[in-house]
Amino acid sequence: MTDTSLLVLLPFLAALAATIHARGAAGWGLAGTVASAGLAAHLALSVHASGPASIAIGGWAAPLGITLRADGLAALMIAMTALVGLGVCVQALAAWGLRPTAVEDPRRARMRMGFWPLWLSTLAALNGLYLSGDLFNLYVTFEILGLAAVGLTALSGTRRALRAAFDYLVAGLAGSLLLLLGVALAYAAAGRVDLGVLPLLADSAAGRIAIALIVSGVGLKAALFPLHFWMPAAHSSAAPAASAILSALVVKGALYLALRLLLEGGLVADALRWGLICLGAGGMAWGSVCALRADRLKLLVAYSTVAQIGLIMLAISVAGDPLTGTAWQAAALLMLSHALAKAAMFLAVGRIAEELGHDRISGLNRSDLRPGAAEFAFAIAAISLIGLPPTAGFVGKWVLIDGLIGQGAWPVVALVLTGTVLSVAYLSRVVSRCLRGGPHIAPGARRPPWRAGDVAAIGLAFTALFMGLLSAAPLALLNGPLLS
Amino acid sequence: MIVFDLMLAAAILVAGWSALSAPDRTGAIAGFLVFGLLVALSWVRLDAPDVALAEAAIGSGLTGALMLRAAGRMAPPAADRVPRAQRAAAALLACGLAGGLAVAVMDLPGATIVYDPLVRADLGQSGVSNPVTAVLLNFRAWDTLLEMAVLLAALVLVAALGPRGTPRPARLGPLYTPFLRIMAPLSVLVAGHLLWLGATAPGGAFQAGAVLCGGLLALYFGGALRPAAVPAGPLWALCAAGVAVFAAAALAAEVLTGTLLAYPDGADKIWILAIEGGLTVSIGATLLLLFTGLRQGGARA
Repeated sequence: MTDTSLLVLLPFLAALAATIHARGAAGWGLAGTVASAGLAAHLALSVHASGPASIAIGGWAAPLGITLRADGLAALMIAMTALVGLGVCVQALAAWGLRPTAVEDPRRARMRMGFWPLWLSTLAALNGLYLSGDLFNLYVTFEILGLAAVGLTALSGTRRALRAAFDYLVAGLAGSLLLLLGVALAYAAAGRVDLGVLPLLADSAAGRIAIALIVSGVGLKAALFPLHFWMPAAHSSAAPAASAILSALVVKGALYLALRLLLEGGLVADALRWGLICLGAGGMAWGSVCALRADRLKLLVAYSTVAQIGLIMLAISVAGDPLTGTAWQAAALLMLSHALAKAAMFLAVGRIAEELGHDRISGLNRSDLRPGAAEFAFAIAAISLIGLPPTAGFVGKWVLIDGLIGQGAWPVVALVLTGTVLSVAYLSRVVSRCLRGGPHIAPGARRPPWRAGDVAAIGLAFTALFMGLLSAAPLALLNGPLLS
Repeated sequence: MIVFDLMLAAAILVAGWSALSAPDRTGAIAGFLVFGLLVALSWVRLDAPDVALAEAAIGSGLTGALMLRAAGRMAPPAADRVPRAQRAAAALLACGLAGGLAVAVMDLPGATIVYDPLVRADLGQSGVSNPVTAVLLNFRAWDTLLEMAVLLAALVLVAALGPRGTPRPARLGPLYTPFLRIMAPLSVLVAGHLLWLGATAPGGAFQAGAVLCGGLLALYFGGALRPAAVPAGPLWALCAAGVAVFAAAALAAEVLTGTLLAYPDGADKIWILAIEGGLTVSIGATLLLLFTGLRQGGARA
């Protein structure tokens, strides 16, 4: 049995087990996540050692059958999912427990039984998405992903979360419809739906419209400005573990498809690329402005995701020819660093809100409470998001700017730097308040106690920090040959 | 036939408009039901009887029933109007999309569909002679496996978010029981027939599951079937059985033949029938529970 089939089917079977045997949901969830992480590590090592591999499911070669393909990019994305997943698992176990206790809060039980099947489905769908070599199959993985993500949004059960989840469901369905329409049109225009169809689509107007439809579906699902209207509410009203998954992992699925379209030769139309550059820049500006104006911590972090998605989409659309340049690698590295940092940030914000009892930014200064581990994790994650050395974010922006200078695209360099300055501005709204100390802290101020949620946040934040020093590993994966 | 096709196209547009413009929910759903049936008819005209069956049974029939049930529990629609600017923007977007699609359809190059010859060439090795079943359960079985996961994810969502407790249907008249005595076994028989037929002719697990669900719904309305009285665990097991069998078969095939979902030589048909049997039961149960709702996890259903 190979890693690729188990990477999808194992979390999926664990999700079934967690659904049927709801009392042991957390145990199944933990086992599925850890096993999947082991497989992800093994896949990354074997892709690094012996190059990309692909299997034709059922022995039917593409385009008739579906291929699962594991190249460096897919292996990196799967490893990213596994890393973030492990961190989120620690937080979920801490928050909702491993086993039912004798006297249990019904809310806690409901969260535990709801979270694990949804997370395992998300994990299986993401792994399937990264491995898929077929457009229609990609659409199906997006369907699982979308439904599970709506469930994760609504999990906390508050009125605000339910409303946000409904908007998310409608937006996600519209995105799916656009995607499906694009795939159907690609089938009509070129007669097949495996990824090999993408270079053929540029030849006809119908093919180019198909690509445009697929990209707009991806934009809606990735919350690309101005299609992000559903996202801040959904990400800011979910439970911390769910927010971390939604913001760090789920939107990456759509961004990955955009990157895949580029690598397979689908994003060749200049108009489309210029459009995406404009939308990416717009997202960076608008997300930053909204983050600067946000009054709640979770909302600030969610709007920062809008800005970061803009940056990643910008990196994808300026990458130029992937066969000659390496600028596209910047997009993959930025996705990795954003996933780690943003998951850490949402978990940290969850802990801060738990200690403070609210998440208003203006109320972060409290004289009776010292800043604790969560604030520390937030600051480290902020450093990675801004892109200071030695973090993963720094390496991503370095590769991006290096590639842009190589192309002589100075206006885009200016855009990226402006976005970076804006991110410093909105993140320091929080970090500066965490740097308190001195006279306004009362002498007897208590320090927040350590919780497992802090461990998860700090672990992910430090992974983002050290990923910069260890960036040879992801770069080696990305430098390997790609399947196309 | 061109006259019929034109009338059909016009009727689809009218049904769609009436669904969108109906002032109350029941009217809108009635429009949607008619719309679905007309679309199913157009699939027949397009020589796609499998899609027509699925559209009529699931796309129109079951979805319509789900909508009617949901409409029954919702408050009457709020009277607030959508702002004019928002309507205009939506109309503009829709026009843009329709224009783009029109351009694309006009521009479509001659049919270079590569699948037809490939399916025809490999149909002999697929174990079944109905090309649709060969694609769904053999050539592209991975899609079908993941689609079943979508169905189950929808059920998990309904269980997590749906209203607590299942409603008990109103009692029906004295003639209902004799009707059930005919309908329930008949639905099982038809489902089994459709399942078996799928190997050679239009039919298969999805259609069979929908028919099975119809029989189960009849039992539910007759009061003979009360999902609320059954603990949630076994119900979940029933719904997950199909996709669990499918996933296990995929891995077992990999152990036996070395390739994911590659059925052992010569035994394709047995594997396909076994998988489809599991799928039929699970689809029937899942569709029923989507309708009746169920409580997640805990035994107090």
